[in-house]
Amino acid sequence: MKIIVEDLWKSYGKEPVFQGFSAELPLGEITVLMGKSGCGKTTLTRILLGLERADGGRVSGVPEKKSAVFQEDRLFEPFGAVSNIRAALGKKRTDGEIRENLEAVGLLGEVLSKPVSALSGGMRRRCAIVRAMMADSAFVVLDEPFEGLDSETKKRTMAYVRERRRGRTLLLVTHNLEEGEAMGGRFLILKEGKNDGRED
Amino acid sequence: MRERREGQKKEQNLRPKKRQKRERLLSIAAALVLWQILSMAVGQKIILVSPITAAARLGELAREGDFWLTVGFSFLRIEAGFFLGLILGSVLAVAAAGVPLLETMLWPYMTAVKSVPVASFIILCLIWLDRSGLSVFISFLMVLPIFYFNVLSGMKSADRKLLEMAEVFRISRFKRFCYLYLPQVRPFLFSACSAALGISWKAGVAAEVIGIPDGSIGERLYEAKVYLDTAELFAWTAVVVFTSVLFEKVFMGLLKRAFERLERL
Repeated sequence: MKIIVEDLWKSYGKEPVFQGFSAELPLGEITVLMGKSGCGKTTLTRILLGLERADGGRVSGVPEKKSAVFQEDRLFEPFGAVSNIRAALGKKRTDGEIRENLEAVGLLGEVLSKPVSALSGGMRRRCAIVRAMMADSAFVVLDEPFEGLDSETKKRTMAYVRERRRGRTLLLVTHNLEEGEAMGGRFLILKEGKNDGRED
Repeated sequence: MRERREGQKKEQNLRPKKRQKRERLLSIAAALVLWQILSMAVGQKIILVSPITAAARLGELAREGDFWLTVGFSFLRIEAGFFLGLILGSVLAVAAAGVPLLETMLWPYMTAVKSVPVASFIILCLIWLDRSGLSVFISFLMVLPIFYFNVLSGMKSADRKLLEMAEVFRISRFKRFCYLYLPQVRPFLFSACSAALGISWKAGVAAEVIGIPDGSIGERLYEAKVYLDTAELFAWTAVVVFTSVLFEKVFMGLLKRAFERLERL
């Protein structure tokens, strides 16, 4: 079982991003998507998440239940970390579970009573990661999730992601080869300028 | 040390507020002095009474049995109109934000209500309605487009990126409304409330002065005009100003607290 991207075409105005690009993402595994800035990494994730339509081609096998960490944190600013995560989860998950997960990435104590707008960039990022990992999803997209985290926190958060993936399909977008290697899985490298033909 | 720093920060935040309050009180005192000087310069009570005379008349009125009934009569009707406008305007705006066709269909009505002079509506309502309900309907009509257009702007200003995130996580409509739209609408709703509260009183009392419903502030203002009782006119005007400002303070405080409670959930 795979997510299959076939003969994908996408351009922004006269700027082509994909010209007949094809790739496969095995379900239940980690795929690390790499490439230089502007090569179409985020565009591909947006198409896979159903947020953007391709100009041509076919995308199939994407699980219906998805979750994501976007390039921006995309949190509900006036609300606290627990509320933000609770908003994205079903009723089955308790506040206690949410707190446990936040604690696993080093968010605990007073921090949880503050609105996320008052938290540091790294704290907000971890909140977005916990939200994506706790959500009831079969396909998790993490778009540069560890940006802005110090090395210690990054290690801890990566361990959290690996542990909480629990057999789900994970697409990690990163510029950092070490991050990709540490997460494991197969690499998908996008070319700069245009992506014509099959994945590298 | 940290507590001390926080205390100092708090004090710094409070200082401009306290100063602003003091400055406002001083400006009110200056306006009263100017009013007193002008009334002394004019020298004719029928044209301009002094603030002391108006205050004395207000004191006399407050001791009359039906004073509070009169205030209550106008207050209940005008605020009923305000709340009806708040609820219907907000509900229509939320619906119009989700259904563009509804927004297009509502546009001529809302624009007409916003632009038609209040006197035209008052005269029409005198033909259609019972006098006692006049101020309810007029204040409702005057605040309806304010809430509609403000809340609609708030709904439309919702962050597209957050909407995308909500789509990916399949966040329910109710949760989207509470977490995403309400905080976006908040500043728009606050400015609408502040504007609408003043307008509801202006329009409501104007309707009462024209329609003269029994037992209303408008009726008392009309009588003051007929008997050229300038002191009573000023006294009732002061009652309208006090009631309107007091209600605005209480209502805005409650609204702010309600939003804060929601955000702590």
